[in-house]
Order: sequence, then C-alpha cells, then structure tokens
Amino acid sequence: MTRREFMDELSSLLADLPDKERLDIIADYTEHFLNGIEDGKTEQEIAEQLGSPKAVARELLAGYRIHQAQTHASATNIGRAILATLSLGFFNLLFVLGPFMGLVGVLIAFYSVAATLLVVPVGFVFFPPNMMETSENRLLLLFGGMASIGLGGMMSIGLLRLTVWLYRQFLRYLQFNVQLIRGK
Amino acid sequence: MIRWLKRLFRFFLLLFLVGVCGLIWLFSQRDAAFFFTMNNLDEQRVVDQAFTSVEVTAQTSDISIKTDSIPSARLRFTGSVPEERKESLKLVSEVQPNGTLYVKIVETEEHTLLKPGFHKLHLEITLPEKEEPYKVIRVQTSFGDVSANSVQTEKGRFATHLGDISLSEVSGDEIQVKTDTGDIQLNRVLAAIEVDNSLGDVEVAMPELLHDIRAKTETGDVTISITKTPSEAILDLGTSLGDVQVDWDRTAIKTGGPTISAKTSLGDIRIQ
Repeated sequence: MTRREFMDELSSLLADLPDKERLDIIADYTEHFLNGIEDGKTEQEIAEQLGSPKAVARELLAGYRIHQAQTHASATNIGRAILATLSLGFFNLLFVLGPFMGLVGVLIAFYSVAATLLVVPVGFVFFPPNMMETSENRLLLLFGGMASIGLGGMMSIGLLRLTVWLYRQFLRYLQFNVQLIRGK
Repeated sequence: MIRWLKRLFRFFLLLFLVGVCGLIWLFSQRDAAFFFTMNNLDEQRVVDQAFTSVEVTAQTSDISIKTDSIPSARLRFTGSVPEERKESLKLVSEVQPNGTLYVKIVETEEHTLLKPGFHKLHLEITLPEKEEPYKVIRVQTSFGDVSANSVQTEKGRFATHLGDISLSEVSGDEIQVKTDTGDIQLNRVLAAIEVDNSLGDVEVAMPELLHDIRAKTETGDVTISITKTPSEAILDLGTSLGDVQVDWDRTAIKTGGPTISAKTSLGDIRIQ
C-alpha cells in the first residue's frame, strides 16, 4: 500500500472527526512516512509497520471519543466512547461493556433506593394510611419520614458525587484499554 | 454548584438527625405503642332525668349539639380508635342536683402538643326541645370541632383550642364563642354575641341586627353579614394592618341601638 492509498483510506475513515483534528492526524502520519523514507524505508514497508488504516482509524477514533467524553461529560459522549472502544476488539464486550453495565446497574439500584426514601414519606402525606390515627403512629411517620427524606437526600447527593467520580475513572479505564490494544 | 450541594447536604443531614433523634425518643417512651388496625366505636345513651343546663367537656373529640322533638336527651359517641385504646376512652354522663346534665369524654391517655391524639371521635348530643330555653349550655373541647344547631339557651359558651366552631339557628340572651386557631362561623345566631379568636376567621350571618355583636381576632378576617340593613347601629370597627369595608349606606343608619364591634390586628373587616 502506498502512502497516498494509506492516507486516502485513513482520511475517509476519520470523516467523523472535525476537520482540524483529522488534518492534524494526516499531517502526523505524513511526517511519519517522510521520516521513514529518509531512513531508507519504502512506503509499503512503512504502511505495513503502521498496520491497516482501519485498525489505526478505530484506535484514533476511540482516543478522540474518550477525550471528548473527558472534556464534555455527558451520557451521549460516554456512550460514543464505549462504542468506539468496543470496535477495537470483540473481547472488549467483556472487558468494557461488562464492567460498564455492572456499574450502571448498581448506580440505578442505589438511585432507586434514594428516590424511594425521598418519595415515600411525601406519598404518605397525600395518601395517609389508615394506621395514622393515633399520636404514636403520627409521630412515627413524622420522624420516620424526616429520617427517610434526610437519608434519601444525603444518598442522592453522595450518588451524584460518586457518579462523577466513576465517570472519570471509567474513562481512565477506557484510555488504559486503548493504550493496551495499541501495545503501549 | 458544589457549595449549593454542600448546603443541601447539611440540610438533609439535619433532617436525618432530627428524624433519628425523634424516633429514638419515641421508642424510648414507656407507653409508646403502634397500632395498625382501627376499630369503630359507637356508644349510645339515653338520659331520662330532666335537666335545665348542659355542660360538655372533651379533649380530642368533636362535639355537636342539637335539639329535636324527643322526650329524653340522647348521647352518641362514635369514632375510629385502635382496639387497645378503647379502654382509655370513656363516656361519662350524669344529671347533677343543680339540674345540669354533665357530659364528659374521659381520655386517660395524656395529650400534649407532640401527642395531640388523632382519634376520629365525635360526640353527638341531641337535646329534647322545650318551651323554655335551657339556662346554660357550655361546650368545651381542646382539639376537636364544635357545632350547635337549633338550640335555645339563655347563656351559651362554646370553646375549643384548635378546632373550628360552627353555630346555626342558636338563640338566647348571650352567646360566647372562643377558639385559638380555628375558624368561627355563626349563622342565624339570635343573641348577644361575643366572639374571641386568635388565628382564625370569623363569619357572622344574621337576618337582622337585634343584639350586640362583638368579634375579636388577631390574624383572621371578620365578616359580618346582616340581610336587613339596620335603621340604627353603633359601629366600632378597628384593624391595625387590614382594611375596613362597610357596604351599608352609613348616612341612612342612625347612631344608636345594637353595637357591632369588630377588632382585628392583621385581618380585614367587612360589614355587609
């Protein structure tokens, strides 16, 4: 494969990237080819060393998506980063999707508990059960409700902080995964 | 954002601590017991002895009193209470030598602001209609509502701390009504009226002005509606922060006759 063929294919595979990013990458790889030629290598040898343009493009796209998720945190961006990482190899279904689904499941469970603790006491105000007709039961529900809302609120705030931390840690794990695949 | 979350976290922490401390306090009470099923209470009693006055007292129960063409007075005590609490409630009635029917709901359970008791209790008293009005009718409850309908009494006193008071078709010489936090509604009460309220509204509706009306409330509104505009009246109306509105043509009303006195600190006064 010649330099031009390599560059054309890589450029078309990186079409999803913004022009500036794509042109920077093309410039880097062009320089890599020029350096190789100066060292006496042929274009075919350099292309073989770099690997197929598809594999290179997948790694670059995964790196870009991870960076994007790090700078602009959102569910869409982390979803794209995960999809891009999954495309690097079938085994990533196990090493990336598995931990991700596990974390999301645990977070959903904790958020559900926090929401239940917050909502149930409010529900008792609007739909009082029959047991609330004595002083003790009233006080039990009042204090129990306060404790429940307090715990639910603290849990929600704690979970928000935990979600942000897990988001960052998971992106670091994705980065590590991409670097591992690149063999660095 | 972080500072805002910290403040919110502190609020939830405080709420949690108060709730937990409350639960600990509640469970440390020696007589604390929690009930999950309620039973209906229905006790009826007929008072055959003659009497000329009535005195009714209760703590948490609502009280309603009315007259009907029956030979003897009837008492009916209804409500919804836990089976275990039935024993702590007792309906006591007796006609005393001075001719007073004394009715009391004895509640051995202690009630405080934190333990106001939330039984749904209702005491209904039906008095026999008489040609002569009853001499004195006194009704007092701490947390319940009070209502009276079609009652004739020379002197009437209806009082509650937290409940509402509603009197309709009550006549006599002097009617005193007092509540701290509830509302007061008087409809066709033909007697000199003295109303004392702290936080609630006062509404008085009459076909015509025949007796003095004195109404006092701290934060509520006072509305006095007289169907037939009086030819003479003394108006003594005062509010600190509210508005006073008199819908009558005051030039057509002579000074004299019954007095309408309405005082409120924060509420409005309307005479119509």
